[in-house]
Amino acid sequence: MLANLDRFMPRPLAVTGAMLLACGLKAAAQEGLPVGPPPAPDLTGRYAPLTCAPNGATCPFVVDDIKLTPVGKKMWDAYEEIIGPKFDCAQATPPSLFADPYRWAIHQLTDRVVFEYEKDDIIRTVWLTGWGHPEPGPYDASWQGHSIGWYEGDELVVVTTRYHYDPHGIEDFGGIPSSTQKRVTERYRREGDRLYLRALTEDPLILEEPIYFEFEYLAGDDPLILPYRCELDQARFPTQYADPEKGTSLADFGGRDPELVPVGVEELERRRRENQN
Amino acid sequence: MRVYLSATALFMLAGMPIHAHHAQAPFFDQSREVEIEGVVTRFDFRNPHPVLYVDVSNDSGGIEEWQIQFGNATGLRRRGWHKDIIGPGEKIRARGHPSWNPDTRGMQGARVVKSDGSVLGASTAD
Repeated sequence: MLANLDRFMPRPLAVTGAMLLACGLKAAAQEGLPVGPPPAPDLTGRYAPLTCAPNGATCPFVVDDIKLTPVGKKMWDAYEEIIGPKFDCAQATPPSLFADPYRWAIHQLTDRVVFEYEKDDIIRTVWLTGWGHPEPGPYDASWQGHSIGWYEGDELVVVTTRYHYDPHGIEDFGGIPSSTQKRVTERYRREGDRLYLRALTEDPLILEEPIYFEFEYLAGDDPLILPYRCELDQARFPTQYADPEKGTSLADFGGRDPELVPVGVEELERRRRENQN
Repeated sequence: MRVYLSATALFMLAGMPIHAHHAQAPFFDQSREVEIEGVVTRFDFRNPHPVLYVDVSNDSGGIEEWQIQFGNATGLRRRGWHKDIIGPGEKIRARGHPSWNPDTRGMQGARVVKSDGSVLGASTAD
């Protein structure tokens, strides 16, 4: 697992790069040259899900490949769809949010990057390191957590922690929960009109190993349709349709759809090896 | 105006071009479909799920209110839907998955046909 994480997050390379950059900046300063932050890749734009959510469908994930901890298994088995906080207009959270069939936008500012989503009127602020933003206090957990970010070459890296407990915070179609220990790392890179996201989700209370997502988005000029304006009475409306005798456990309604849940890192590696052979 | 809820009218249509959202399964029976005919009384075009209210005559001469739930308003708006795309008084026929709770008359994944034969939203879909 560590090997996989190292491949995803080449920290030694990042540290080496930072040291070289620091040396370069110091040398430039000594020579009286203007010194500024390294150029950031231009990611600003509006995006629509492409690969993982074509035509409103969801990603081709495999539920059985996710390795849950014993606690995670128990919580998943106990999950009832009707307890989903979405029925009270709670926001969708990463990583499920990344696969939702809605448009979203990236706004790059000097000290932060703002992600704006059609879905649930979500605004995520990613605080760029080095600008001295305040750290979250002990009571500052939230649906979107606390995000910090930095640029690495042509990528924007975002690390988010301090999430609420979420009954379907790992996968919101399959009902896999996330704990307050969820940590999501996103890496964004743009090539032409395509934006690529690699996302790693860790949650040691729920996931025996991290899960890995890859998404592709299409840049475009279509404006976001805002506001979403979820309304509480409308959100809760469908809950009346559940049969009180049957309950709302997904396991009792044909099981969890195998095409709706992300794969584990090891399974992803196995498939890649298979494809290469 | 009738609602077809007899045993013969409840049928499987696996090949129907209806997109079923998995999380709807505990609320709507994805294995069955029912068909109704009725008169629209209200269209609630709001997120997260717009609802079309339809008065349907039952076999005993009474009126039953059915509620047809759609996907999110944001996605529908992008396909040209709006709050006045259908309104009170319009006659429609709809076929979709019925709600599980026997005390309710909900429907999801419905194909709604207007009295002129046009499919609701079809002319505006991208």
